[in-house]
Amino acid sequence: MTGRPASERGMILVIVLWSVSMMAVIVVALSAYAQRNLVAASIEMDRLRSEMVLRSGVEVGGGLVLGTQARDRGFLDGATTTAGLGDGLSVEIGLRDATGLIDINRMDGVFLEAALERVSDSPQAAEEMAAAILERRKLLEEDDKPSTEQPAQDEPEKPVPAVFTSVSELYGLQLPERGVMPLIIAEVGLYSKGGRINPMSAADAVLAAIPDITPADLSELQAAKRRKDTSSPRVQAVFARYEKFITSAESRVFQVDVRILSGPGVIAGSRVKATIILDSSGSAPFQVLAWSW
Amino acid sequence: MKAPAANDFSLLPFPPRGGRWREAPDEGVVPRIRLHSDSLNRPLIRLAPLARSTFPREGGRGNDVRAEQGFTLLEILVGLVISSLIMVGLTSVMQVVNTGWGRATVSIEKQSSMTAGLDILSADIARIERIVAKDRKSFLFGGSPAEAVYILAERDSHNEAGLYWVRLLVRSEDGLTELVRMRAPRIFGENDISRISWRDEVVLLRGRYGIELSYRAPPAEAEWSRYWEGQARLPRQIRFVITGADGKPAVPEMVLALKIGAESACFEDTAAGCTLSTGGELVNQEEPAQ
Repeated sequence: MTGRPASERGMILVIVLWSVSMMAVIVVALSAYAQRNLVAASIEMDRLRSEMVLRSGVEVGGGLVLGTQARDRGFLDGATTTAGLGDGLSVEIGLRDATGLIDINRMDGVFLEAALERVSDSPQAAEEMAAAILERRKLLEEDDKPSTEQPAQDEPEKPVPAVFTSVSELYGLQLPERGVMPLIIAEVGLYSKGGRINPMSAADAVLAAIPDITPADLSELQAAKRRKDTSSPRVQAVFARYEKFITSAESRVFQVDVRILSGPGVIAGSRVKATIILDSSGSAPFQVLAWSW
Repeated sequence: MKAPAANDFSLLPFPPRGGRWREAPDEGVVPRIRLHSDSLNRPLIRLAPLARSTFPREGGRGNDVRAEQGFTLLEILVGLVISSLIMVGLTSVMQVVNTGWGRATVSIEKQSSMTAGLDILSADIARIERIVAKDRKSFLFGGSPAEAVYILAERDSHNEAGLYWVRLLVRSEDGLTELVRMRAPRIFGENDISRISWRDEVVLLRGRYGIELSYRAPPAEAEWSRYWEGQARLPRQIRFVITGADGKPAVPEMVLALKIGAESACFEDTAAGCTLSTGGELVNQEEPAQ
């Protein structure tokens, strides 16, 4: 080796190493900082993109409902279908006639409690919740009595005013067993024809809760649900026997459950549930009644 | 040259390190040894400076002694100057980096805070519930340039009481403006906004901003209104104008749309309280909401 002695080279080496270390630390810190911000921005982009995809999924779901024959819409029981939204985006869409859900606004009290018990598997929670719901209905009825005058004979029957505007109001009942709430929330709704549900889109647990239903009638309903056909006389007879609780009337309200399966730049597994109403009078084919987010 | 005898102090007492005895060259400096004693009468030996060429190592370059001498003053000064220059340079770079870093951090935090705040706003407005007031002539909604009050169902994870009243409030103090979101559980049957006890305050935006809200419901009411209260229809859009300290827009005008387009009462074919067929307007309402 030529040049300066080893002892002098050592000193310079230390200075150089120190300087290089300092610069390396700065560069690494800047790089980490920039990287962190990039990741944060990327996550935000993915979240935004996922939200847009979910909204598109709801639009597609609404389109699928509209594309289904009116007489077949009652058989939409939440079964899922996969839809591509382009650019490799894939979503799973579940459609359900909302009149198949437990109607907390109008359903008969006995049926309500039995159905809540079946879906929650908790007799105590069901009893307390049903009692709270019925109490609230009673309060509204008392509050809504305008006068003692009797309505004229030819005046159309007034619809029962809605007690609940959102199923999330059940959280406000402050019941002790909150652990069963997700099970209950998944099966309750606000829409039925005068408290009568559509058995073709109802859960089997709810069907089994129909007051005084016999095993044979229950089997008949379940078979009709699987066949997607209620035209047989035997099924019609079952409808007639339990007409206080079930109906086959066409519905206008549907639940659209959208879940992202895959796609570039989206968060797979994100989901949204929207309740839509078909709108024959408005400017849009359907309107959203409620969002789950 | 022969090896010196033990008492011969006129010659070197030991051979140079790594070398061997050899004759001193004629022109070389004659090595001298001084022998004296210290206060404890211990013998001390001092070696006089030697010329580089006096005792070159065989096969070497003869610079070992100099290598042990360290730096010269000039070398140290030059080293210090270079180090100082590097330090000054690095300090300047660090200052620039630090300033930029600080600005970037503030800017990113500001953007991030604004994004999060506006995201909450957007989600809120989209979920405003269409609930008719007890007078059956208006919706439960109130809006002014500095405040908006509405009802919505909170997300499951934040929901302990079902429906909530939510209030967006713009307030200013010491030049700082805050857009605050607060809420209160909606007590069944209670529709008087003035009696609500607000809680769960969250600051969505804070800074030297000017924030103003306005409302409209196209196509029936296409112009932006500064106040919206007790009306027979809900606004379809709410506009947020956010200006900076200089009065210029801090972000482009943000128009958020209500995404719930029908009342739950619309399910009943004959239901009053449904505005689907009236373009969103309550007309001849006979039924109360709650």
